[in-house]
Amino acid sequence: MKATPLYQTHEKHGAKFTEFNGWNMPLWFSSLEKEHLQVRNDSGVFDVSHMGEILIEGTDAFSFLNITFTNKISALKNGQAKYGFFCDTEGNVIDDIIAYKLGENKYFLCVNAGNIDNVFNWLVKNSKDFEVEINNLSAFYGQLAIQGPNSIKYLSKTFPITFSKDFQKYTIINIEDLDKKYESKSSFDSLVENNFLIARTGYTGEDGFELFVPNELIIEIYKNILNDCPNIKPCGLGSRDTLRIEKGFPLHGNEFIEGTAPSDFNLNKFIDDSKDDFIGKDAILKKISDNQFAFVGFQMEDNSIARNGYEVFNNGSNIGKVTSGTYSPILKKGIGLALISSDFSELRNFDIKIRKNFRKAFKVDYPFV
Amino acid sequence: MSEIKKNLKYTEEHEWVMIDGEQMLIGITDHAQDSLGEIVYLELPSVGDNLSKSSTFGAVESTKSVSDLYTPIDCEVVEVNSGAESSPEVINQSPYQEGWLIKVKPTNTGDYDDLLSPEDYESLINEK
Repeated sequence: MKATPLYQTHEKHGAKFTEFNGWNMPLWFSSLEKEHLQVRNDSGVFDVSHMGEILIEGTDAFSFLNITFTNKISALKNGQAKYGFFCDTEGNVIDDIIAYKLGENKYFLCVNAGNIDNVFNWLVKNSKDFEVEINNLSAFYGQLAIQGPNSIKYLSKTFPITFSKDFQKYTIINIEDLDKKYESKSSFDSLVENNFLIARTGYTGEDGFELFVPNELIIEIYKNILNDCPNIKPCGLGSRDTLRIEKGFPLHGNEFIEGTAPSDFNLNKFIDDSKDDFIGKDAILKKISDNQFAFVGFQMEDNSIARNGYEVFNNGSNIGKVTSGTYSPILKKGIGLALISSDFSELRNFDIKIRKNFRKAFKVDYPFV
Repeated sequence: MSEIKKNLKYTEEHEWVMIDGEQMLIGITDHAQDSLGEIVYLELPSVGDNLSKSSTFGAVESTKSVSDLYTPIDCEVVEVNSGAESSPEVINQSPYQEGWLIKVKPTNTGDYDDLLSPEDYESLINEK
């Protein structure tokens, strides 16, 4: 099993570990629920160094990303980011990613941990007719996600130069304070020397930041952040999952599995059908018009918890499956997301089979909180 | 370090069994509750249910995960801990006392001798 450079640091902080996509990652430190509330109410830091980073640059970088990525990138200014998908020709999701425009014909991608090689190989395979260089920087970069409403206040103290700049949501900038400290070239030009990036993005539904820093410096940077900002508490992947479910965010491996398309999950706003073409476009447009599935949020009537894979029923017939489910630390109830047949999209109540019993659930719009 | 009571017997699936006169109490170990994290839901059988050894008799769920509960001995359920059903966090706080799960009448007394001793259970959890 792989481990991030922070493994021993997490051990010292009392982490309980779990295997995730081949990585030994902190599941929680003291308590999943406390960490969940810490992020909702204050600020927490997640080691997400298992995530992948890929750089696409070269004369054709724009046209190459434009034809591989579902979302619109033509209007992006330097530093701006877009969420979207890489899909196969059948319109099925290969990965959901954030693409950051670092400069003209230079895009930095954040991809899912279990999927790095898959995405990289798919990009390389499709790049034959393009003047582009595709570099997998995942071994170089570690990643920290600092999330929660007070994160900006705390990080402004640690990185005063960086945070004195105009820093909009969904943009990426250099961490000039670290450039200075480590005497690096302060630019997006060379991403494989000492280079420190911070994006105002995240996966918790709270305001927050994602830091891309070299693996060889991440231990020191992490310790310094925790020393400077004792209110930012270490959090594990357990609360990262419950936080994203409360916001209705899809997860690669739960929602996006073999044979599922973005349109199955109400994600059409990340598909730019005005583009001439992108890989999978025709298939996705067909899926949108076929409208086979409805993706719905639900809450359990009793205290039970429906989880990934549990079957959803209406009057005794199976109409779909739960894709993500958990106990919500905010609502103190079982909540979840289910992919059901679109024939039942207006259904207000359904049954979910939990072990031997059918339990009542009612439809709730997500985000749940 | 997880607490292991000297006066109890154990299963490989982290249940404990305590003799209580003619009856037995069953719960999950300190090690089990610690691995699960905050317990938020408990599913127990009904009084009068006949359970056979190694079958599942319910489930215990934390925010993150669900674990089946395994029957340590052939038995009939005589009482369930309704306090733990309504406030499952008691299992985290007191796995060997207030957090017991079911009280049973054994239907095959020989089963008890096959359970793990405290020493065997300790080496089992130290292996992992």
